[in-house]
Amino acid sequence: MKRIFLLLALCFLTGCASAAVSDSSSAAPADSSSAVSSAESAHAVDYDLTVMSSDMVYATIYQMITEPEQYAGKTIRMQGLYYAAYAEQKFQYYHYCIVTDALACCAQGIEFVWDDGNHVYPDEYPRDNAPITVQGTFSAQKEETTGNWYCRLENASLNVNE
Amino acid sequence: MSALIQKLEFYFQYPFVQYALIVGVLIALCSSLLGVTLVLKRFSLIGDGLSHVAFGAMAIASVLHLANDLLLVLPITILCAIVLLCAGQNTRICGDSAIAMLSVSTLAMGYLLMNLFASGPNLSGDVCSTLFGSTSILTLTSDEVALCAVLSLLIVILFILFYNKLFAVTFDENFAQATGLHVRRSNLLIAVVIATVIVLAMNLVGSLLVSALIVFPALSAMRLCKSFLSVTICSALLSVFCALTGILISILAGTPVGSTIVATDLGAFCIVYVIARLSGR
Repeated sequence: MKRIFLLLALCFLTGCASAAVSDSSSAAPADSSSAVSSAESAHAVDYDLTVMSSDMVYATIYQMITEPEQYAGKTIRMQGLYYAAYAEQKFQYYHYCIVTDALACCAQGIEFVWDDGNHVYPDEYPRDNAPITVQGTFSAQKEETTGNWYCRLENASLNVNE
Repeated sequence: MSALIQKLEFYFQYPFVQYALIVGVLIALCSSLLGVTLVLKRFSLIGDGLSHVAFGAMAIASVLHLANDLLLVLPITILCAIVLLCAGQNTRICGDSAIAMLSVSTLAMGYLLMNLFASGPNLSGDVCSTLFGSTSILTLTSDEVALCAVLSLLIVILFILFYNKLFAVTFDENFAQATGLHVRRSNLLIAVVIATVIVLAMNLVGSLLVSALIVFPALSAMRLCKSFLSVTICSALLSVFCALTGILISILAGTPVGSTIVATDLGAFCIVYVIARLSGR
């Protein structure tokens, strides 16, 4: 059940890693030498995943997806790989920070909205698979009809770690 | 060193780390208790066979979209354990052949079912996670921890209550039967308990590595101690120590939990082996 839930969450929140790659193959490489953005948040970081081991990062993100209410409004900083996915129904790209588990067979991640969401894709975004650090406020909304949770980091800052 | 302790203190604040340690200790304890009996009865590989059965049952539960897969996995695994342990001696296909046949059949059927009726986009991740454990132990809910605690407590109580019968059945079934002991009933108890332990242990190390939890602590303890009781106690202590060490190393170093615990068990066995050789045991 847990595994099924995780996979469902992945479908809605991140898509599986391979799907994200194919969806965003047209992504243009971004300036990798410096920070891409920065609406550096003045808030203190509640959950700094960048100082955790890969097991802990994976388990913490799993908790965020399965118990989103507990993390709502918290400031999260995380490192992972950048992926963009195109949602045909809404005609727009969604942006994700993906982490893998220690065996590298499972991937999960969180959608983020860079600043106010007005940055232009693909010009301003990094290339797919680029290592990034994202910091933003965790938000979770439940869709009444399906009962699924939609989680993301809002008003996020984005840095490319290359 | 202080940085390491600080990091551990930081990690211990997370409930899922506390859950992992509790469940890890309980599973290691239960598997080591039964491990001694299974190794002595030359059923070391039954853990492997039954964990593959559990994998197959988990695949069926996944296909049926069961909310709680334990309701299906546990009875199927117990049934197969009973078939192997109780009927194994009186059938045409017996012993290791029966274990091997059941093991590969259920593993293959489970994988086939998961492929044919995939419930999600990440099939390989799903299978890999079930087989090798991955970070399953770090993603437990409080309900799962409670269930594990209750089952573990039950197993320990049963082991203590039936210690003498287990002892008799382990060493000489014919003699035990001659003294009026219900050998079949005792084997049934062992089968039920070992199936429960294996289903629980799959969360800790994954289905392919379950045997290590059963075999390594018992073999290490047999190098150090001689009596059944001392081997059992030593095996339990070693198993709990290795599980705790393995979990702590894996969360600090970011390595896969299951394989780190097994590597710790292997390391302990090697150390014990050297100590036993040097001391002439």
